[in-house]
Amino acid sequence: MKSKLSVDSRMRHFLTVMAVLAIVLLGSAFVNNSPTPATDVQQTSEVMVSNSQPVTSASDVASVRPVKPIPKGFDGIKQFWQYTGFYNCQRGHLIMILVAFVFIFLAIRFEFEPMLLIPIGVGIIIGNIPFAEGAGLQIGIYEKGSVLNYLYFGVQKGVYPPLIFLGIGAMTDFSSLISNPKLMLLGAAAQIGIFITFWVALSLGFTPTQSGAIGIIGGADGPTAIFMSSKLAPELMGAIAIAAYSYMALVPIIQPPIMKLLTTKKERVIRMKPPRAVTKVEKILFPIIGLLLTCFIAPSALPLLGMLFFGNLLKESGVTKRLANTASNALIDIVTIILGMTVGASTQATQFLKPESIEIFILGALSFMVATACGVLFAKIMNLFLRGDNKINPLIGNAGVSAVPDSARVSEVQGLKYDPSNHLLMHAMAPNVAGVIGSAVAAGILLSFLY
Amino acid sequence: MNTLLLGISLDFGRIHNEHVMLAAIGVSVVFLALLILAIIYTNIPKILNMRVRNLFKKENGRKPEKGEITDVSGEVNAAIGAALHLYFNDMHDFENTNLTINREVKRQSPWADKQQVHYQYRVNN
Repeated sequence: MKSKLSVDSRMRHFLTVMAVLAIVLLGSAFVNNSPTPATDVQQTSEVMVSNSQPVTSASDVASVRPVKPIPKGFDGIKQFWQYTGFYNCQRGHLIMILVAFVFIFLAIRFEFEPMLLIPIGVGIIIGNIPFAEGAGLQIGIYEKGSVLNYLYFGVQKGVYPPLIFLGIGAMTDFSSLISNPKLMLLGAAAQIGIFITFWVALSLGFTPTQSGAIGIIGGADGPTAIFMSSKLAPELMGAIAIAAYSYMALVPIIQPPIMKLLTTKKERVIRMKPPRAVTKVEKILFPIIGLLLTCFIAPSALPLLGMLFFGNLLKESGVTKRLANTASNALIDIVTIILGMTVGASTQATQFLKPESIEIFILGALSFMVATACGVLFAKIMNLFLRGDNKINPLIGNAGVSAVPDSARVSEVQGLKYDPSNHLLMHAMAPNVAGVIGSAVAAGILLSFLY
Repeated sequence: MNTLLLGISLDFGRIHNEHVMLAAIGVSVVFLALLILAIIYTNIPKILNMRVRNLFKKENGRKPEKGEITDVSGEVNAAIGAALHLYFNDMHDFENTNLTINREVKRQSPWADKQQVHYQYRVNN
Protein backbone atom coordinates (compact mmCIF):
# COMPACT_ATOMS: atom_id res chain seq x y z
CA MET A 1 0.00 0.00 0.00
CA LYS A 2 2.79 2.33 1.02
CA SER A 3 4.84 1.48 -2.04
CA LYS A 4 1.81 2.03 -4.25
CA LEU A 5 1.31 5.46 -2.71
CA SER A 6 4.95 6.31 -3.20
CA VAL A 7 4.76 5.23 -6.84
CA ASP A 8 1.70 7.46 -7.26
CA SER A 9 3.43 10.42 -5.64
CA ARG A 10 6.57 9.85 -7.73
CA MET A 11 4.41 9.74 -10.87
CA ARG A 12 2.74 12.98 -9.77
CA HIS A 13 6.15 14.61 -9.26
CA PHE A 14 7.28 13.42 -12.66
CA LEU A 15 4.15 14.77 -14.32
CA THR A 16 4.53 18.09 -12.48
CA VAL A 17 8.11 18.44 -13.67
CA MET A 18 7.08 17.59 -17.21
CA ALA A 19 4.22 20.10 -17.09
CA VAL A 20 6.51 22.84 -15.78
CA LEU A 21 9.00 22.00 -18.53
CA ALA A 22 6.27 22.19 -21.14
CA ILE A 23 5.09 25.56 -19.81
CA VAL A 24 8.66 26.89 -19.78
CA LEU A 25 9.22 25.73 -23.33
CA LEU A 26 5.91 27.24 -24.43
CA GLY A 27 6.82 30.46 -22.69
CA SER A 28 10.17 30.52 -24.42
CA ALA A 29 8.41 30.06 -27.68
CA PHE A 30 6.33 33.12 -26.89
CA VAL A 31 9.28 35.20 -25.72
CA ASN A 32 11.56 34.23 -28.59
CA ASN A 33 8.70 34.40 -31.02
CA SER A 34 10.82 35.01 -34.05
CA PRO A 35 8.65 35.89 -37.05
CA THR A 36 10.44 33.47 -39.36
CA PRO A 37 11.96 30.69 -37.29
CA ALA A 38 11.87 28.48 -40.33
CA THR A 39 14.63 30.45 -41.99
CA ASP A 40 17.19 29.38 -39.37
CA VAL A 41 16.38 25.77 -39.95
CA GLN A 42 16.42 26.32 -43.64
CA GLN A 43 19.89 27.78 -43.34
CA THR A 44 20.96 24.85 -41.19
CA SER A 45 19.62 22.35 -43.66
CA GLU A 46 21.31 24.18 -46.49
CA VAL A 47 24.61 23.97 -44.62
CA MET A 48 24.14 20.30 -44.00
CA VAL A 49 23.55 19.41 -47.62
CA SER A 50 26.67 17.84 -49.04
CA ASN A 51 28.74 19.62 -51.70
CA SER A 52 27.24 22.82 -50.27
CA GLN A 53 24.38 22.85 -52.77
CA PRO A 54 21.53 24.81 -51.21
CA VAL A 55 18.15 23.16 -51.51
CA THR A 56 15.31 25.58 -51.17
CA SER A 57 12.03 24.03 -52.24
CA ALA A 58 10.34 20.94 -50.90
CA SER A 59 10.18 19.27 -54.27
CA ASP A 60 13.92 19.79 -54.75
CA VAL A 61 14.61 18.08 -51.44
CA ALA A 62 12.42 15.16 -52.47
CA SER A 63 14.21 14.66 -55.76
CA VAL A 64 17.83 15.27 -54.66
CA ARG A 65 17.78 13.48 -51.27
CA PRO A 66 21.36 14.42 -50.38
CA VAL A 67 23.41 12.38 -47.94
CA LYS A 68 23.82 14.67 -44.98
CA PRO A 69 26.40 14.24 -42.28
CA ILE A 70 25.00 13.66 -38.80
CA PRO A 71 25.70 16.75 -36.71
CA LYS A 72 27.89 16.08 -33.75
CA GLY A 73 27.55 17.05 -30.11
CA PHE A 74 25.90 20.33 -29.34
CA ASP A 75 25.14 21.02 -33.02
CA GLY A 76 22.93 17.95 -33.07
CA ILE A 77 21.00 19.11 -30.01
CA LYS A 78 20.72 22.58 -31.51
CA GLN A 79 19.40 21.17 -34.77
CA PHE A 80 16.92 18.96 -32.92
CA TRP A 81 15.75 21.98 -30.96
CA GLN A 82 15.28 23.98 -34.16
CA TYR A 83 13.09 21.23 -35.54
CA THR A 84 10.84 21.05 -32.48
CA GLY A 85 7.38 22.60 -32.32
CA PHE A 86 8.44 24.72 -29.34
CA TYR A 87 11.10 26.52 -31.38
CA ASN A 88 8.85 27.10 -34.39
CA CYS A 89 5.76 28.01 -32.41
CA GLN A 90 4.14 31.32 -33.19
CA ARG A 91 1.25 33.02 -31.48
CA GLY A 92 -1.03 32.07 -34.38
CA HIS A 93 -0.43 28.38 -33.85
CA LEU A 94 -1.51 28.62 -30.22
CA ILE A 95 -4.59 30.66 -31.13
CA MET A 96 -5.62 28.06 -33.69
CA ILE A 97 -5.02 25.21 -31.22
CA LEU A 98 -7.29 27.04 -28.77
CA VAL A 99 -9.92 27.33 -31.52
CA ALA A 100 -9.59 23.57 -32.04
CA PHE A 101 -10.21 23.00 -28.34
CA VAL A 102 -13.39 25.10 -28.59
CA PHE A 103 -14.57 22.99 -31.55
CA ILE A 104 -13.88 19.74 -29.73
CA PHE A 105 -15.53 21.06 -26.57
CA LEU A 106 -18.66 22.14 -28.47
CA ALA A 107 -18.85 18.75 -30.17
CA ILE A 108 -18.45 16.68 -27.00
CA ARG A 109 -20.22 18.86 -24.45
CA PHE A 110 -23.15 20.12 -26.53
CA GLU A 111 -23.09 17.56 -29.37
CA PHE A 112 -23.04 20.30 -32.04
CA GLU A 113 -22.38 18.37 -35.26
CA PRO A 114 -19.81 16.10 -33.56
CA MET A 115 -19.23 14.14 -36.79
CA LEU A 116 -17.83 17.32 -38.30
CA LEU A 117 -16.43 19.29 -35.42
CA ILE A 118 -14.30 16.47 -33.98
CA PRO A 119 -12.46 15.74 -37.27
CA ILE A 120 -12.16 19.47 -38.00
CA GLY A 121 -10.99 20.22 -34.45
CA VAL A 122 -8.35 17.50 -34.52
CA GLY A 123 -7.44 18.60 -38.05
CA ILE A 124 -6.84 22.14 -36.79
CA ILE A 125 -4.50 20.79 -34.11
CA ILE A 126 -2.68 18.64 -36.70
CA GLY A 127 -2.40 21.58 -39.08
CA ASN A 128 -1.09 23.88 -36.39
CA ILE A 129 1.61 21.75 -34.84
CA PRO A 130 4.54 24.08 -35.53
CA PHE A 131 7.40 22.66 -37.55
CA ALA A 132 10.28 23.93 -39.62
CA GLU A 133 8.34 24.93 -42.70
CA GLY A 134 11.33 25.82 -44.82
CA ALA A 135 13.29 22.65 -44.08
CA GLY A 136 11.55 20.60 -46.73
CA LEU A 137 10.37 17.93 -44.31
CA GLN A 138 7.25 17.36 -46.41
CA ILE A 139 4.88 17.17 -43.48
CA GLY A 140 2.71 20.29 -43.79
CA ILE A 141 -0.56 20.24 -45.68
CA TYR A 142 0.69 22.93 -48.06
CA GLU A 143 4.02 21.18 -48.72
CA LYS A 144 4.05 19.38 -52.03
CA GLY A 145 4.57 15.66 -51.60
CA SER A 146 3.42 15.39 -48.00
CA VAL A 147 0.81 12.82 -47.02
CA LEU A 148 -1.52 15.55 -45.82
CA ASN A 149 -1.07 17.34 -49.12
CA TYR A 150 -2.13 14.19 -50.99
CA LEU A 151 -5.26 13.94 -48.83
CA TYR A 152 -5.88 17.67 -49.33
CA PHE A 153 -5.86 17.09 -53.08
CA GLY A 154 -9.42 15.78 -52.80
CA VAL A 155 -10.50 19.06 -51.24
CA GLN A 156 -8.54 21.24 -53.65
CA LYS A 157 -9.89 19.52 -56.73
CA GLY A 158 -13.41 19.10 -55.41
CA VAL A 159 -13.31 15.28 -55.27
CA TYR A 160 -14.82 14.82 -51.81
CA PRO A 161 -17.97 16.99 -52.07
CA PRO A 162 -19.63 14.88 -54.81
CA LEU A 163 -18.87 11.72 -52.80
CA ILE A 164 -20.48 13.29 -49.74
CA PHE A 165 -23.48 14.18 -51.89
CA LEU A 166 -23.71 10.54 -53.02
CA GLY A 167 -23.96 9.51 -49.37
CA ILE A 168 -26.46 12.26 -48.58
CA GLY A 169 -28.61 11.13 -51.50
CA ALA A 170 -28.50 7.52 -50.28
CA MET A 171 -29.52 8.63 -46.79
CA THR A 172 -32.22 11.14 -47.67
CA ASP A 173 -35.88 10.30 -47.76
CA PHE A 174 -37.56 12.74 -50.13
CA SER A 175 -41.06 11.50 -49.35
CA SER A 176 -42.00 14.52 -47.22
CA LEU A 177 -41.00 16.75 -50.13
CA ILE A 178 -42.89 14.62 -52.66
CA SER A 179 -46.02 14.60 -50.53
CA ASN A 180 -46.07 18.41 -50.22
CA PRO A 181 -44.20 19.83 -53.24
CA LYS A 182 -45.07 23.47 -52.53
CA LEU A 183 -42.61 23.39 -49.62
CA MET A 184 -39.81 23.25 -52.19
CA LEU A 185 -40.23 26.99 -52.59
CA LEU A 186 -39.02 27.52 -49.01
CA GLY A 187 -35.79 25.79 -50.03
CA ALA A 188 -35.51 28.24 -52.92
CA ALA A 189 -36.27 31.29 -50.74
CA ALA A 190 -33.46 30.51 -48.33
CA GLN A 191 -30.96 30.71 -51.21
CA ILE A 192 -31.56 34.48 -51.45
CA GLY A 193 -29.04 34.74 -48.60
CA ILE A 194 -26.33 33.49 -50.97
CA PHE A 195 -26.84 36.33 -53.42
CA ILE A 196 -27.22 39.06 -50.78
CA THR A 197 -23.94 37.93 -49.22
CA PHE A 198 -22.41 37.96 -52.69
CA TRP A 199 -23.24 41.68 -52.89
CA VAL A 200 -21.95 42.44 -49.39
CA ALA A 201 -18.70 40.57 -50.09
CA LEU A 202 -18.28 42.61 -53.27
CA SER A 203 -18.78 45.84 -51.35
CA LEU A 204 -16.12 44.72 -48.86
CA GLY A 205 -13.62 44.58 -51.68
CA PHE A 206 -13.54 40.88 -52.50
CA THR A 207 -13.30 39.98 -56.18
CA PRO A 208 -16.48 38.64 -57.86
CA THR A 209 -15.15 35.07 -57.85
CA GLN A 210 -14.20 35.27 -54.16
CA SER A 211 -17.60 36.83 -53.37
CA GLY A 212 -19.38 33.98 -55.12
CA ALA A 213 -17.46 31.42 -53.09
CA ILE A 214 -18.12 33.30 -49.84
CA GLY A 215 -21.83 33.77 -50.58
CA ILE A 216 -22.42 30.03 -50.83
CA ILE A 217 -21.77 29.73 -47.07
CA GLY A 218 -25.38 30.96 -46.73
CA GLY A 219 -26.53 27.75 -48.34
CA ALA A 220 -25.30 26.04 -45.16
CA ASP A 221 -23.93 23.29 -47.29
CA GLY A 222 -20.35 22.39 -46.40
CA PRO A 223 -19.60 20.20 -49.44
CA THR A 224 -21.06 22.79 -51.84
CA ALA A 225 -19.04 25.56 -50.16
CA ILE A 226 -15.84 23.51 -50.55
CA PHE A 227 -16.70 22.62 -54.14
CA MET A 228 -17.32 26.28 -55.00
CA SER A 229 -14.21 27.61 -53.29
CA SER A 230 -12.07 24.94 -54.98
CA LYS A 231 -13.25 26.32 -58.31
CA LEU A 232 -13.63 30.04 -57.62
CA ALA A 233 -11.33 30.99 -54.74
CA PRO A 234 -8.88 28.23 -53.74
CA GLU A 235 -6.89 30.78 -51.72
CA LEU A 236 -9.86 31.25 -49.36
CA MET A 237 -10.86 27.62 -49.12
CA GLY A 238 -9.73 27.05 -45.54
CA ALA A 239 -11.62 30.03 -44.17
CA ILE A 240 -14.75 29.32 -46.25
CA ALA A 241 -14.86 25.65 -45.31
CA ILE A 242 -14.32 26.33 -41.62
CA ALA A 243 -16.93 29.11 -41.64
CA ALA A 244 -19.48 26.93 -43.45
CA TYR A 245 -19.03 23.96 -41.13
CA SER A 246 -18.90 26.11 -38.00
CA TYR A 247 -22.18 27.81 -38.82
CA MET A 248 -23.74 24.46 -39.73
CA ALA A 249 -22.80 23.28 -36.26
CA LEU A 250 -24.15 26.46 -34.71
CA VAL A 251 -27.57 26.16 -36.37
CA PRO A 252 -29.30 25.53 -33.00
CA ILE A 253 -27.86 28.81 -31.69
CA ILE A 254 -28.13 31.10 -34.72
CA GLN A 255 -31.58 30.24 -36.04
CA PRO A 256 -34.02 30.26 -33.07
CA PRO A 257 -33.75 34.01 -32.24
CA ILE A 258 -34.38 34.94 -35.89
CA MET A 259 -37.34 32.54 -36.08
CA LYS A 260 -38.81 34.00 -32.91
CA LEU A 261 -38.25 37.56 -34.06
CA LEU A 262 -40.04 37.10 -37.38
CA THR A 263 -43.09 35.09 -36.26
CA THR A 264 -46.13 35.76 -34.09
CA LYS A 265 -47.36 33.43 -31.34
CA LYS A 266 -50.39 32.52 -33.46
CA GLU A 267 -48.21 31.56 -36.42
CA ARG A 268 -45.94 29.37 -34.31
CA VAL A 269 -48.82 27.04 -33.36
CA ILE A 270 -50.17 26.48 -36.87
CA ARG A 271 -50.85 22.78 -37.36
CA MET A 272 -50.00 21.46 -40.76
CA LYS A 273 -51.83 18.72 -42.62
CA PRO A 274 -50.09 15.36 -42.10
CA PRO A 275 -48.11 14.36 -45.21
CA ARG A 276 -49.79 11.83 -47.49
CA ALA A 277 -48.31 8.42 -48.13
CA VAL A 278 -45.97 8.40 -51.11
CA THR A 279 -45.86 5.45 -53.50
CA LYS A 280 -42.67 3.65 -54.45
CA VAL A 281 -43.05 4.71 -58.09
CA GLU A 282 -43.10 8.37 -57.07
CA LYS A 283 -39.99 7.88 -54.98
CA ILE A 284 -38.17 6.21 -57.87
CA LEU A 285 -39.26 8.86 -60.35
CA PHE A 286 -38.15 11.76 -58.12
CA PRO A 287 -34.36 11.38 -58.50
CA ILE A 288 -34.67 10.74 -62.23
CA ILE A 289 -36.87 13.77 -62.90
CA GLY A 290 -34.91 15.90 -60.44
CA LEU A 291 -31.60 15.00 -62.06
CA LEU A 292 -32.80 15.68 -65.58
CA LEU A 293 -34.52 18.94 -64.73
CA THR A 294 -31.97 20.57 -62.43
CA CYS A 295 -28.93 19.51 -64.44
CA PHE A 296 -30.46 20.71 -67.70
CA ILE A 297 -31.03 24.10 -66.01
CA ALA A 298 -27.64 24.32 -64.28
CA PRO A 299 -25.18 21.78 -65.74
CA SER A 300 -22.35 23.31 -63.67
CA ALA A 301 -23.89 21.68 -60.61
CA LEU A 302 -23.76 18.25 -62.27
CA PRO A 303 -21.05 16.74 -60.01
CA LEU A 304 -23.12 17.59 -56.93
CA LEU A 305 -26.67 17.06 -58.15
CA GLY A 306 -25.75 14.04 -60.27
CA MET A 307 -24.28 12.26 -57.28
CA LEU A 308 -27.12 13.37 -54.95
CA PHE A 309 -29.83 11.95 -57.18
CA PHE A 310 -27.73 8.89 -58.04
CA GLY A 311 -27.40 8.09 -54.35
CA ASN A 312 -31.12 8.56 -53.87
CA LEU A 313 -31.95 6.23 -56.76
CA LEU A 314 -29.68 3.59 -55.23
CA LYS A 315 -31.79 3.83 -52.08
CA GLU A 316 -35.23 4.05 -53.61
CA SER A 317 -34.83 1.49 -56.38
CA GLY A 318 -34.75 -1.20 -53.70
CA VAL A 319 -32.57 -3.48 -55.83
CA THR A 320 -29.18 -1.96 -54.95
CA LYS A 321 -29.36 -2.18 -51.19
CA ARG A 322 -25.68 -3.08 -50.82
CA LEU A 323 -24.56 -0.07 -52.87
CA ALA A 324 -26.95 2.23 -51.02
CA ASN A 325 -25.68 0.88 -47.71
CA THR A 326 -22.06 1.47 -48.67
CA ALA A 327 -22.78 4.99 -49.95
CA SER A 328 -24.78 5.97 -46.87
CA ASN A 329 -22.50 4.36 -44.29
CA ALA A 330 -18.93 3.37 -45.07
CA LEU A 331 -18.24 5.71 -47.98
CA ILE A 332 -19.69 8.87 -46.48
CA ASP A 333 -18.00 8.11 -43.15
CA ILE A 334 -14.58 7.68 -44.76
CA VAL A 335 -14.94 10.83 -46.85
CA THR A 336 -16.26 12.83 -43.88
CA ILE A 337 -13.28 11.80 -41.77
CA ILE A 338 -10.76 12.73 -44.46
CA LEU A 339 -12.60 15.89 -45.48
CA GLY A 340 -13.07 17.15 -41.93
CA MET A 341 -9.49 16.42 -40.97
CA THR A 342 -7.92 18.00 -44.07
CA VAL A 343 -10.19 21.05 -43.94
CA GLY A 344 -9.16 21.49 -40.31
CA ALA A 345 -5.49 20.99 -41.14
CA SER A 346 -5.75 23.58 -43.92
CA THR A 347 -6.08 26.26 -41.25
CA GLN A 348 -2.32 26.36 -40.74
CA ALA A 349 -1.86 29.61 -38.81
CA THR A 350 0.79 30.98 -41.18
CA GLN A 351 -1.66 30.68 -44.09
CA PHE A 352 -4.98 31.09 -42.33
CA LEU A 353 -4.75 33.96 -39.86
CA LYS A 354 -5.38 36.89 -42.16
CA PRO A 355 -7.87 39.80 -41.95
CA GLU A 356 -9.83 38.25 -44.84
CA SER A 357 -10.55 35.18 -42.72
CA ILE A 358 -12.28 37.34 -40.10
CA GLU A 359 -14.27 39.10 -42.83
CA ILE A 360 -15.30 35.72 -44.26
CA PHE A 361 -16.48 34.60 -40.81
CA ILE A 362 -18.58 37.77 -40.43
CA LEU A 363 -19.98 37.37 -43.94
CA GLY A 364 -20.75 33.72 -43.27
CA ALA A 365 -22.78 34.61 -40.19
CA LEU A 366 -24.61 37.31 -42.14
CA SER A 367 -25.29 34.92 -44.99
CA PHE A 368 -26.68 32.32 -42.63
CA MET A 369 -28.94 34.79 -40.84
CA VAL A 370 -30.28 36.28 -44.07
CA ALA A 371 -30.97 32.79 -45.45
CA THR A 372 -32.89 31.84 -42.30
CA ALA A 373 -34.87 35.08 -42.33
CA CYS A 374 -35.72 34.69 -46.04
CA GLY A 375 -37.04 31.18 -45.46
CA VAL A 376 -39.24 32.21 -42.53
CA LEU A 377 -40.53 35.35 -44.29
CA PHE A 378 -41.31 33.42 -47.47
CA ALA A 379 -43.39 30.94 -45.47
CA LYS A 380 -45.39 33.90 -44.15
CA ILE A 381 -45.84 35.25 -47.67
CA MET A 382 -47.03 31.83 -48.88
CA ASN A 383 -49.56 31.77 -46.05
CA LEU A 384 -51.22 34.86 -47.53
CA PHE A 385 -52.29 32.70 -50.47
CA LEU A 386 -53.08 29.48 -48.61
CA ARG A 387 -56.29 28.61 -46.83
CA GLY A 388 -57.36 26.25 -44.02
CA ASP A 389 -55.16 23.30 -43.21
CA ASN A 390 -52.93 24.05 -46.21
CA LYS A 391 -51.29 26.85 -44.24
CA ILE A 392 -47.61 26.53 -43.43
CA ASN A 393 -46.10 26.94 -40.00
CA PRO A 394 -43.40 29.60 -40.61
CA LEU A 395 -41.16 27.85 -38.09
CA ILE A 396 -40.24 25.41 -40.87
CA GLY A 397 -38.97 28.26 -43.07
CA ASN A 398 -35.56 28.17 -41.39
CA ALA A 399 -35.10 24.62 -42.71
CA GLY A 400 -34.70 26.06 -46.22
CA VAL A 401 -30.98 26.26 -45.51
CA SER A 402 -29.53 22.89 -46.35
CA ALA A 403 -28.03 21.93 -43.01
CA VAL A 404 -29.64 18.48 -43.06
CA PRO A 405 -31.17 17.50 -40.66
CA ASP A 406 -30.09 20.03 -38.05
CA SER A 407 -32.21 22.93 -39.21
CA ALA A 408 -35.26 20.63 -39.46
CA ARG A 409 -34.54 19.55 -35.90
CA VAL A 410 -34.47 23.21 -34.85
CA SER A 411 -37.96 23.65 -36.38
CA GLU A 412 -39.20 20.62 -34.42
CA VAL A 413 -37.74 21.83 -31.12
CA GLN A 414 -39.06 25.37 -31.58
CA GLY A 415 -42.50 24.08 -32.61
CA LEU A 416 -42.72 21.85 -29.53
CA LYS A 417 -41.86 24.82 -27.32
CA TYR A 418 -45.09 26.58 -28.29
CA ASP A 419 -47.28 23.50 -28.73
CA PRO A 420 -45.96 20.26 -27.19
CA SER A 421 -48.11 18.12 -29.49
CA ASN A 422 -47.27 19.88 -32.75
CA HIS A 423 -44.51 17.91 -34.46
CA LEU A 424 -42.92 19.79 -37.35
CA LEU A 425 -39.97 17.52 -38.12
CA MET A 426 -41.49 15.70 -41.10
CA HIS A 427 -42.78 18.96 -42.58
CA ALA A 428 -39.44 20.69 -42.05
CA MET A 429 -37.56 17.92 -43.81
CA ALA A 430 -39.21 19.00 -47.09
CA PRO A 431 -37.65 22.50 -47.32
CA ASN A 432 -34.50 21.05 -45.80
CA VAL A 433 -33.86 18.62 -48.66
CA ALA A 434 -35.14 21.19 -51.16
CA GLY A 435 -32.46 23.48 -49.75
CA VAL A 436 -29.80 20.92 -50.67
CA ILE A 437 -31.04 20.93 -54.26
CA GLY A 438 -31.48 24.73 -54.24
CA SER A 439 -27.99 25.48 -52.96
CA ALA A 440 -26.46 23.13 -55.54
CA VAL A 441 -28.43 24.86 -58.31
CA ALA A 442 -27.34 28.29 -56.96
CA ALA A 443 -23.74 27.06 -56.94
CA GLY A 444 -24.13 25.93 -60.55
CA ILE A 445 -25.44 29.34 -61.58
CA LEU A 446 -22.60 31.17 -59.82
CA LEU A 447 -20.09 28.84 -61.43
CA SER A 448 -21.50 29.38 -64.90
CA PHE A 449 -21.27 33.16 -64.46
CA LEU A 450 -17.98 33.48 -62.62
CA TYR A 451 -15.75 30.51 -63.52
CA MET B 1 -17.90 54.24 -48.07
CA ASN B 2 -19.06 53.17 -44.59
CA THR B 3 -16.55 52.00 -42.04
CA LEU B 4 -17.85 49.29 -39.76
CA LEU B 5 -16.23 47.44 -36.83
CA LEU B 6 -12.53 46.39 -36.89
CA GLY B 7 -11.77 48.80 -39.72
CA ILE B 8 -13.89 46.81 -42.17
CA SER B 9 -15.31 49.19 -44.75
CA LEU B 10 -18.28 48.75 -47.05
CA ASP B 11 -18.40 50.36 -50.47
CA PHE B 12 -21.63 49.58 -52.28
CA GLY B 13 -20.24 51.36 -55.34
CA ARG B 14 -18.36 48.15 -56.06
CA ILE B 15 -21.64 46.41 -56.89
CA HIS B 16 -22.10 46.92 -60.62
CA ASN B 17 -25.07 46.26 -62.84
CA GLU B 18 -23.77 42.87 -63.91
CA HIS B 19 -23.56 41.77 -60.27
CA VAL B 20 -27.16 42.83 -59.66
CA MET B 21 -28.14 41.00 -62.83
CA LEU B 22 -26.27 37.86 -61.73
CA ALA B 23 -28.07 37.80 -58.39
CA ALA B 24 -31.46 38.44 -59.99
CA ILE B 25 -30.95 35.68 -62.54
CA GLY B 26 -29.57 33.36 -59.88
CA VAL B 27 -32.54 33.76 -57.54
CA SER B 28 -35.01 33.46 -60.43
CA VAL B 29 -33.40 30.30 -61.78
CA VAL B 30 -33.31 28.63 -58.33
CA PHE B 31 -37.00 29.47 -57.87
CA LEU B 32 -37.83 28.37 -61.40
CA ALA B 33 -36.04 25.01 -61.04
CA LEU B 34 -37.76 24.17 -57.78
CA LEU B 35 -41.11 25.56 -58.95
CA ILE B 36 -41.06 23.33 -62.05
CA LEU B 37 -40.13 20.36 -59.87
CA ALA B 38 -42.99 21.25 -57.50
CA ILE B 39 -45.48 21.54 -60.37
CA ILE B 40 -44.36 18.21 -61.83
CA TYR B 41 -44.65 16.54 -58.46
CA THR B 42 -48.05 18.02 -57.75
CA ASN B 43 -49.33 16.43 -60.95
CA ILE B 44 -47.49 13.11 -60.92
CA PRO B 45 -49.89 11.41 -58.47
CA LYS B 46 -52.77 12.38 -60.77
CA ILE B 47 -51.03 10.77 -63.74
CA LEU B 48 -50.10 7.67 -61.75
CA ASN B 49 -53.64 7.27 -60.44
CA MET B 50 -55.33 7.72 -63.81
CA ARG B 51 -55.79 3.94 -64.24
CA VAL B 52 -57.22 3.57 -60.75
CA ARG B 53 -59.57 6.48 -61.40
CA ASN B 54 -60.85 4.85 -64.59
CA LEU B 55 -61.38 1.56 -62.74
CA PHE B 56 -63.24 3.39 -59.98
CA LYS B 57 -65.41 5.14 -62.55
CA LYS B 58 -66.24 1.82 -64.26
CA GLU B 59 -67.13 0.08 -61.02
CA ASN B 60 -69.01 2.87 -59.28
CA GLY B 61 -70.39 4.76 -62.25
CA ARG B 62 -69.11 8.07 -60.91
CA LYS B 63 -65.89 10.02 -60.69
CA PRO B 64 -63.98 9.65 -57.43
CA GLU B 65 -64.17 12.65 -55.17
CA LYS B 66 -61.09 14.59 -54.20
CA GLY B 67 -58.92 12.56 -51.86
CA GLU B 68 -61.04 9.43 -52.24
CA ILE B 69 -58.31 7.43 -53.98
CA THR B 70 -55.12 9.34 -53.36
CA ASP B 71 -53.99 11.51 -50.48
CA VAL B 72 -53.98 8.76 -47.92
CA SER B 73 -52.12 10.35 -45.05
CA GLY B 74 -49.13 8.67 -43.46
CA GLU B 75 -51.11 8.46 -40.23
CA VAL B 76 -53.89 6.46 -41.89
CA ASN B 77 -51.29 4.16 -43.46
CA ALA B 78 -49.61 3.69 -40.10
CA ALA B 79 -52.94 2.87 -38.47
CA ILE B 80 -53.76 0.29 -41.19
CA GLY B 81 -50.28 -1.22 -40.84
CA ALA B 82 -50.60 -1.44 -37.05
CA ALA B 83 -54.04 -3.03 -37.29
CA LEU B 84 -52.81 -5.65 -39.77
CA HIS B 85 -49.80 -6.37 -37.60
CA LEU B 86 -51.97 -6.87 -34.51
CA TYR B 87 -54.43 -9.03 -36.46
CA PHE B 88 -51.73 -11.36 -37.80
CA ASN B 89 -50.00 -11.44 -34.42
CA ASP B 90 -53.18 -12.63 -32.74
CA MET B 91 -53.95 -15.25 -35.36
CA HIS B 92 -52.47 -18.07 -33.29
CA ASP B 93 -55.12 -17.42 -30.60
CA PHE B 94 -57.77 -18.59 -33.01
CA GLU B 95 -56.26 -21.93 -33.98
CA ASN B 96 -58.45 -25.02 -34.30
CA THR B 97 -58.80 -26.63 -30.87
CA ASN B 98 -60.02 -30.11 -32.05
CA LEU B 99 -57.44 -32.73 -31.11
CA THR B 100 -57.18 -35.86 -33.28
CA ILE B 101 -55.09 -38.99 -32.84
CA ASN B 102 -53.69 -40.30 -36.05
CA ARG B 103 -52.60 -43.90 -36.13
CA GLU B 104 -48.96 -43.94 -37.11
CA VAL B 105 -47.92 -46.53 -39.65
CA LYS B 106 -44.39 -47.74 -39.17
CA ARG B 107 -42.45 -48.85 -42.14
CA GLN B 108 -40.86 -52.26 -41.93
CA SER B 109 -37.11 -52.04 -42.05
CA PRO B 110 -34.58 -54.76 -41.29
CA TRP B 111 -32.41 -52.13 -39.59
CA ALA B 112 -35.04 -50.97 -37.15
CA ASP B 113 -36.95 -54.17 -36.52
CA LYS B 114 -36.36 -55.44 -32.98
CA GLN B 115 -37.84 -58.89 -33.57
CA GLN B 116 -35.69 -59.45 -36.62
CA VAL B 117 -32.56 -58.50 -34.66
CA HIS B 118 -33.48 -60.94 -31.83
CA TYR B 119 -34.17 -63.71 -34.32
CA GLN B 120 -30.84 -63.19 -36.07
CA TYR B 121 -29.07 -63.24 -32.70
CA ARG B 122 -30.68 -66.59 -31.76
CA VAL B 123 -29.88 -68.17 -35.13
CA ASN B 124 -26.25 -67.09 -35.02
CA ASN B 125 -25.70 -68.37 -31.48
